[in-house]
Amino acid sequence: MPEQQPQEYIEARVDIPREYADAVCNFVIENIANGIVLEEEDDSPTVGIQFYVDEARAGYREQLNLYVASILVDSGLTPPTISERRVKNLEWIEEYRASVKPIRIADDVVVRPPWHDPLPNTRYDIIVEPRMAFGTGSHETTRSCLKIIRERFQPGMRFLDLGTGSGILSILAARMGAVYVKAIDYDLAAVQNAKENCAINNVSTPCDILFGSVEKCEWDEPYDFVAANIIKSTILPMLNTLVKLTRSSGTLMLSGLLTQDEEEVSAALRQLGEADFTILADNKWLTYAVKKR
Amino acid sequence: MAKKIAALVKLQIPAGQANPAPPVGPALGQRGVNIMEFCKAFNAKTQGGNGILTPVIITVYSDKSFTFITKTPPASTLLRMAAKIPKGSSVPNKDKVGRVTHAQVQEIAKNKMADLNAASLEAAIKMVEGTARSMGIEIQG
Repeated sequence: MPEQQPQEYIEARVDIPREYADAVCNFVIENIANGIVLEEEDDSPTVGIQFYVDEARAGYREQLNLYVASILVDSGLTPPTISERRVKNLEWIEEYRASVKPIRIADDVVVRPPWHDPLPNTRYDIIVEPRMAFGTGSHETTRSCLKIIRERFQPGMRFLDLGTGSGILSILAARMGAVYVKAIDYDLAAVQNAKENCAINNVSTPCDILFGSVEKCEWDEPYDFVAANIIKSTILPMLNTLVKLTRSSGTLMLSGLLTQDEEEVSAALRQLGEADFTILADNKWLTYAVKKR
Repeated sequence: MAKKIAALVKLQIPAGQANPAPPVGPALGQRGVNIMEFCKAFNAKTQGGNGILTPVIITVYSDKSFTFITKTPPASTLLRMAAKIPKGSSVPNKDKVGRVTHAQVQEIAKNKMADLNAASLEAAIKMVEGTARSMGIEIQG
């Protein structure tokens, strides 16, 4: 189920003598937060340990103070104070949003944020509101997927998009004449962003944008074009289903794969009898375009 | 010309589980980095890591692009695994929760020597021993 996100976080920081920092990081991660930021200068005797807790966990201070007092008890050092600052959830994405610029993917495909004007000579002008969902056009895998859709997608096709993120691939398919699009993501923020982006782009193709995973489509009629830009550990367990969901002679596009994944993914496809594929490489990322037998 | 470095961000997060919530979101978002692209790259690289705590150093360039390197788990994580305990002690000066051998400490110190910034193996061993004490892990043998 989607998690309810807190409205605000407490950004806490404690500066710890370097020789105790590893143990304190470990304590914070085991008991208080699921990750930390380290701020350290090579010549500083202390390390800044920064972490985030939601408002409901106000008792963390006492817990951490007790622990730090316990490890410093024989050192003669005074336990450091914990400084706090309240930060609104998601306020940190504003700086990132400000950095997003239009990107030309292919000769006539451009992805841009809503506040930028369309670029000239653009047949497929795709607007993506940059939020907490993958797919703004700048990542190698998104670029490769968009290029393959541009080359292979035909009007009248049905399109399935697993791990839709911002919905960017579905929007291009819709703009190229899809008769039906189903887009699925297991992250609620992505589902919301994909719906928002479909609305901004005035997508008129019938679209189902769903929260969930492959169970939301596994009994569907096979699709003409199936896209899964996720990562290997998610794709391989459902590869058999993805192949079944692709109609004969249709395209199965797999991405989010690293160059070191090639042998394993290619072998898995061949084991399912699917040997007719091309691989588009962009930096260390691979995108497979499989022609279903 | 080499790109100008705007920031170095050091995080410790579980392998294969990066998401845009804190600490990743604020640490990278406020520096203009595409948070989701980092999450995808990190998760793809560490997907076989079973969620083990992974130090990662992200270099953010002035054009907001980034590269990152991952390191082996911190000495504290290696100590917890060597002691076969679910977590360290919350009151390590009183409650001891596990044991490791000197040989295990030495092995961890060797593995982590570069990251510990230690001048010698002996210095690295002392640091690992200190971390063990601070986790309520006794050293025997």
